[in-house]
Amino acid sequence: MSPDLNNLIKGIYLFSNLNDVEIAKISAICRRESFPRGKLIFSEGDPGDKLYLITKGSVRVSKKIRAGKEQVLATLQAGDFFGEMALIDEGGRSADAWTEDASELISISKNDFATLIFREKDIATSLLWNIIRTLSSRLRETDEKLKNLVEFKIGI
Amino acid sequence: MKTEALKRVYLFQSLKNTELELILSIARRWKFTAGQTVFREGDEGDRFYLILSGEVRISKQVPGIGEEALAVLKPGDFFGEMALIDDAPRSADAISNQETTLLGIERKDFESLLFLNKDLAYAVLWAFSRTLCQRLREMNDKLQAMLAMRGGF
Repeated sequence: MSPDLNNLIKGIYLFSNLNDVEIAKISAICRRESFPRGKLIFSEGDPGDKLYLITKGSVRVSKKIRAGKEQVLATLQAGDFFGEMALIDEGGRSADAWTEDASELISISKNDFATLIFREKDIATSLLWNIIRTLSSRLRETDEKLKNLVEFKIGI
Repeated sequence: MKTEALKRVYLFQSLKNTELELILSIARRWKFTAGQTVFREGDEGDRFYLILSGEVRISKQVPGIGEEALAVLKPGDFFGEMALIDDAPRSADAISNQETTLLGIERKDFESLLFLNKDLAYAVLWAFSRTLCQRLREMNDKLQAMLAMRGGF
């Protein structure tokens, strides 16, 4: 695919350890998607079939607390990725994803991802390490949020 | 016997015996007396532990309340696995309840081993990813439930 796409992919943390040949293999399974501002990309509970990379714009990941109220889990920018849990397990989407601005995304389907990393163990190792580090930092952030809530309750 | 113990750890479940031997080759035994501290909350975490014999309690110091035990771990149980993937500080205390022997694996040795053995890395890292995903899902649900409750006040 285009050298342009390769450069965009290189800028994503998930792929930061890959060499040019490996980046080209990733690029071959990427699709570009454009979204206007304020658009729902997926809803909590939807079957997860794609990973998304942000090349332009920003995306809000949030959970519905009750009708008309949401809790923002993260606001993601160009270079960030989301929806990675869909590539790893069979659970549905764990939150909603909305575009905050007009956004350019790159998507990778679950099947293509699984096939690629099964064939290419070097790519697999590098990507899995980065996914693990990302999940672990998201886990710690969520744990902090939970702790703050518990303290808030005790403080009442 | 030790490869059997390792096999009970979810990260190593799908490994072949030869791969388990590789994991064992980077593991070291640590002996603790009753009441001895393995690590404290806030310590830098760089080692994963599997209990071979004895007992370890995981607890937190709660201001104004004292020690709150979170879990008591027995032979075959393990703890501190997050230390294999990042250098965040320990999130709780670990103290041996009796004479205890632990099998410890250091992060830098683990990383080198996985770097040199791609098939092993593939199996272990997949298992790790799945577990973290599951924990994150559970935690997100808990967060959602707590926020809904708070909103009800």
